[in-house]
Amino acid sequence: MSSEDLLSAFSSLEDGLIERSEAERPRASWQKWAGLAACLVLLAGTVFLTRGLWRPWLAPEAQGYGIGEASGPDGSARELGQSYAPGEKYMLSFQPPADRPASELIRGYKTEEEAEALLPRNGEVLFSAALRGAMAQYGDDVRYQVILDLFLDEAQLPAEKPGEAVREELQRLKDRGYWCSRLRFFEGGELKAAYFSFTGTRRELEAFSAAAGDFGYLFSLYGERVGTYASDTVIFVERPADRNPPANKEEGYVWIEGDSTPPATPHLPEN
Amino acid sequence: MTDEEIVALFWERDEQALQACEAAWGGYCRALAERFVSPEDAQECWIDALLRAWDAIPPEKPAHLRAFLAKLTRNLAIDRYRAGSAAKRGGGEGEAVLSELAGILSGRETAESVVAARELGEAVNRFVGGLPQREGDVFIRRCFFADTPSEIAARWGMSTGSVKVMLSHTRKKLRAFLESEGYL
Repeated sequence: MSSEDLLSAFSSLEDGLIERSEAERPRASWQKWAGLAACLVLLAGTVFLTRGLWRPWLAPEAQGYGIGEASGPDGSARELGQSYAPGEKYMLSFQPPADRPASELIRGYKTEEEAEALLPRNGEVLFSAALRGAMAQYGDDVRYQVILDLFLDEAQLPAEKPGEAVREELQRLKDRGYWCSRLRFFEGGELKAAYFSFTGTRRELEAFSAAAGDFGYLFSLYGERVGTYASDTVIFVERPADRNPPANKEEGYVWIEGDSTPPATPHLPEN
Repeated sequence: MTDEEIVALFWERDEQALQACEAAWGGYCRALAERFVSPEDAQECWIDALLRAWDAIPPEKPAHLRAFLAKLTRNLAIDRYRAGSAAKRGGGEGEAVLSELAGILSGRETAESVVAARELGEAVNRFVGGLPQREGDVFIRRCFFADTPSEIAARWGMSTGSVKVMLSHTRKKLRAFLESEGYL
């Protein structure tokens, strides 16, 4: 058998398979409305932030905490929950493991692209427009904090109550070098939202397909998903050693589950 | 005119079927052939494909006329590609796809191609049909249509890097599959 035989063999594909590959991604009607709604929310949020309408409701130490202002590495060290001046770059320093070089952590990125409702199919890996834009601008010299949404048969699997299959998948990804934390947001002692999060370089993210299993995978920047919580609540970072939420729960905090030690570099393909 | 109406013309042995095919899918099939051969050769492949379709329908009654014609045209283009000199080849993505597929064989090419051709086609069909839908679609876009990774990425809103990695992953799977089926 030669490579040309193999090339010819693809002409034996069933007509139906070939036609299927011609199909553009179908958009359900609700997705169009969701896209429109996302645009409106984005517009309202922009007005809210840029006009300073949010300041009266925030504690003084939280005023100025902005999102989506990434414009380039500024080298400043920040702690989660620390205030930001209006217009300041939305970027945090990252303390990497000893075997990795120090780098900036990109968590938000403002994109001019139209908001899109992405719905990965089984085995598919998609990146949000903001994440694509950030990776194109900042490249390989930084790390990105991303939120991972898992889908099965185009239905999103909740991170609030991950089932056995999700837990197994996260363990499998961890074994492949993609170490996910679960972030949980509480308000008034009640769980409001949860996300799977991890940080990676552009190369690690782009190589994720090689580690992908049978789920659909959607990556967004942290700021895209968690921004509404991060912008108007004081955030605490709980270390894995503190397995249980503190008794005196305050409004809004991040709870990180999982090991405290990230794994070695993901197993990247050779090319 | 719909594909069903065109197929009906074939069955009525009405030569307007050929004109209707040209109008509906001529550009599509020529563009596919040009991934492998020169534009002049692509045009000849398309004409030959129409003649083969005329001979095949009836008795055949393709449910997907576009794919049916595309396969005929692609087959002829690859035959011409194989027979032609490097200078006459399209030199485009077809060449790149061939190089990638050669990587799957990696020095294990044999001369037993004629015997295995039909079986190999069925095996490839089984392999692609068993992939997750998006992975299968991406692989078809690359290996059947010879789309570039950036074209595939644009089609489904993926990053080019993600497409390349997915393709690399799928080629490894194909190699393992061919080994398990005894082709390698």
